[in-house]
Amino acid sequence: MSAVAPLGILSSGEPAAAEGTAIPDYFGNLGVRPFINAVGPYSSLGGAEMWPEVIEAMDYAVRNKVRMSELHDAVGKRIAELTGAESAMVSAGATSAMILGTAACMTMGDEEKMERLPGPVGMPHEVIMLKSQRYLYDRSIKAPGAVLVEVETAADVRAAINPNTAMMFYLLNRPENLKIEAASYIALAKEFNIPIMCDAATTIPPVSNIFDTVKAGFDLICYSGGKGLRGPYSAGLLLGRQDLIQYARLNGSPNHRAYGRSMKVAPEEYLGMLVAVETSLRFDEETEYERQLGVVNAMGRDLSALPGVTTETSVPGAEAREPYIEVRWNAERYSISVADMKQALRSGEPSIEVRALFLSGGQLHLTAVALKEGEAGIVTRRVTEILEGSAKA
Amino acid sequence: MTKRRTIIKGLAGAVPLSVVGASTIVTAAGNQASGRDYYSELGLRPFINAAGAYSAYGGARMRPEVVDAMRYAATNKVKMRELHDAVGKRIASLVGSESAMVTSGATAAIVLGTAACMTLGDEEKMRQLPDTSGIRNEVIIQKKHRYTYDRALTVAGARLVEVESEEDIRNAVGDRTAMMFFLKPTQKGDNIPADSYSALARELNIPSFCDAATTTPPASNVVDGVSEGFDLICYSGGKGLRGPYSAGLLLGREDLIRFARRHAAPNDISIGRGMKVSAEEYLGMLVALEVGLKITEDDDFDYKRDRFDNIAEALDDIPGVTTKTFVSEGHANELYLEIDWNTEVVKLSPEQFVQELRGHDPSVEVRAFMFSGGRIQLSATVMAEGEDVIVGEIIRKVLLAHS
Repeated sequence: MSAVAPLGILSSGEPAAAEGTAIPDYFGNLGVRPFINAVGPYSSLGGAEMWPEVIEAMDYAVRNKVRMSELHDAVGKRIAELTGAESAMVSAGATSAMILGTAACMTMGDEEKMERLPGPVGMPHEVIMLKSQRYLYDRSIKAPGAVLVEVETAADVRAAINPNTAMMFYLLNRPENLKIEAASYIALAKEFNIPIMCDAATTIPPVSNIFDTVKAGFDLICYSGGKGLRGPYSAGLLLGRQDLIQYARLNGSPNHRAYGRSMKVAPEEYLGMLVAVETSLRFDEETEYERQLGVVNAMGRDLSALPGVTTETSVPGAEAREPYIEVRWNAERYSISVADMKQALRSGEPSIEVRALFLSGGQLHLTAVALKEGEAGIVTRRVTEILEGSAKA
Repeated sequence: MTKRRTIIKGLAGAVPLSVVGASTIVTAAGNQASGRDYYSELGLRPFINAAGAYSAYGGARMRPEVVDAMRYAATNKVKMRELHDAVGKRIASLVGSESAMVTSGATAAIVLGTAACMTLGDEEKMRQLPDTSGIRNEVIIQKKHRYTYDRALTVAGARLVEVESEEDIRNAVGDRTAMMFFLKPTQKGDNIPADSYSALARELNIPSFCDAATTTPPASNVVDGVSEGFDLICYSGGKGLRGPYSAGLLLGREDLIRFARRHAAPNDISIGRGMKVSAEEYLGMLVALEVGLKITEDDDFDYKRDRFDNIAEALDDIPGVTTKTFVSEGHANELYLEIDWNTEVVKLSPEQFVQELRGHDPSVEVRAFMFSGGRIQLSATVMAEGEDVIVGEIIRKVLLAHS
């Protein structure tokens, strides 16, 4: 934070906190406990740590005002250049990008239809999606009133398309068990002239995935800003066709009567998102990957030194390239369940969050992406203590 | 007055007139580590906002304490749910409401509050929105309270039922009624005033909601608003309260706030996950309120009067030009400077004036037309010390050029 300059006189009529003045310990005063994040940059855990460059840019945007529409134009243009997309906008997160993208495809710039949102009445409202890709966040596609139509094969897609079809949808991080290849699915969208949107929210790092995904031919692509790109928490990206991005913007803030006016993006988030993309593209991801791998392997070595404990290092396939270890223990030797382990780590001191159950197939997973210097040792020490505390005689 | 003049002279000395026309406003970049001037890189022209804290102009100037708090939250991570609980509790105790939450703006507060009243915590119904089959979907609104932002009431799938009298309301209320909505202030007045309206809602056992987004400053109006008895009341965070741009407040009944939170990020059950609020914004909103409640309206007005005095002083020798500082009518107590001129002496239409200020370097936006009934008005709410001097010089130049 020391890189961030104090507020200048022109930005504020009032004196800022004097340099060197300690900022109050707000969270301590509120009784909110800090915690060690061995899970990753999840929204519920506050997302990723922003790049210092992003914080600096946000500080700049707080102090220097421009008109929002001009800012949106300029940043959108620059992000498009950086990513190779035809056009781009910053949204209030990946979910917001999905909602605005869907709204754009449903209304295609038609003012009367935009005013009528949420659908489905009076506008194309069917969104075609692959059955094996149904997931938690497809809820957002339905927010503007769309109805999901599940398909499995190319024949299903052909049969499903009708005048009410607004969009086709593809979830990038789940390519398994598809009865139709992504390229053929995209080709069908082109053949029938149906806009196709891709949720690529959790596919960074590597950031180069953006280029590949943009080239794959999707009309719209959604990214989370506050995760792999290490931008502002409540920001995301919508990249894609110039006309569709324009329609998406019409449905968003700060337009007065827009369906999506509630999904506000601050100027500091808008600029911060651009700087996050810039910084991510410059960043040496390989070194960071090696760092994380080193940290999780060290945790694995420490834990597998315990009798009856095994660990395995893995890297997700289509998800963000962040290595993790899976920790297993012999139930004959240690009585604690994975669920109880998670709870014990959470309620201990310091509080530690781990990936377990829902997102890890019932196993204990540890990642290093959000671990700070020295925290890995604390995590392995706590896991060891809890395991030993549950050791059977 | 003597003291104020001294301050003005001191400042005028520190900000030489040569700054007019230079990119003074962006030189704040100079004291950053990287020294980057992002807006200049992007070809963006900064502007001086003498219009007010409008969303399209980037909202208010955040208070320095808010910026500090946001920096703190950017580097100290906590779990969002715990943060939401703790900040909500603290805000509720500050303003005297039963419960509170931070939203991604006043519009989000309306959307989430409406969704909460429609579904009342029923998980099946939350998942179903905006499809309202089998869900209470009517929101009662006074015809005179119809306004641009009532669009937010329909985002969750509700439809509006217009009323003009108590009798209308009694006739309209039924098993489809989800909420009774009230707007303050309204240009057109009320058929039914706030106290009768909220009392009637209680009698009919319908949750009532008040949009009080624009009724600050002063921040103490939030405390007064809460005491009026609406079940839910919302405020904009990035305007009169000088908190984060994309933040707002939803205050009210404990059960309804709990339901509203379930519709919102980071929960994924309903329509509101797109309305994300960062930890910085959540904490920043609390600090904006804390600081705002400590500042008296007099302090605030003194600051703005100083700005206006400097502008008026720059214009007071131009023939045919008059200036007047006044307090706006309505629920927010806002100070404005109105500038008027005899168009026989200064041959310039208000429209031309606005265009010339906008085209100037640095560019200046003033309140005109829609928000001011065709008058030229200036707001000092987003004006930094020193910008008043620049604005005064620019306006002087523009008016003299047509004299």
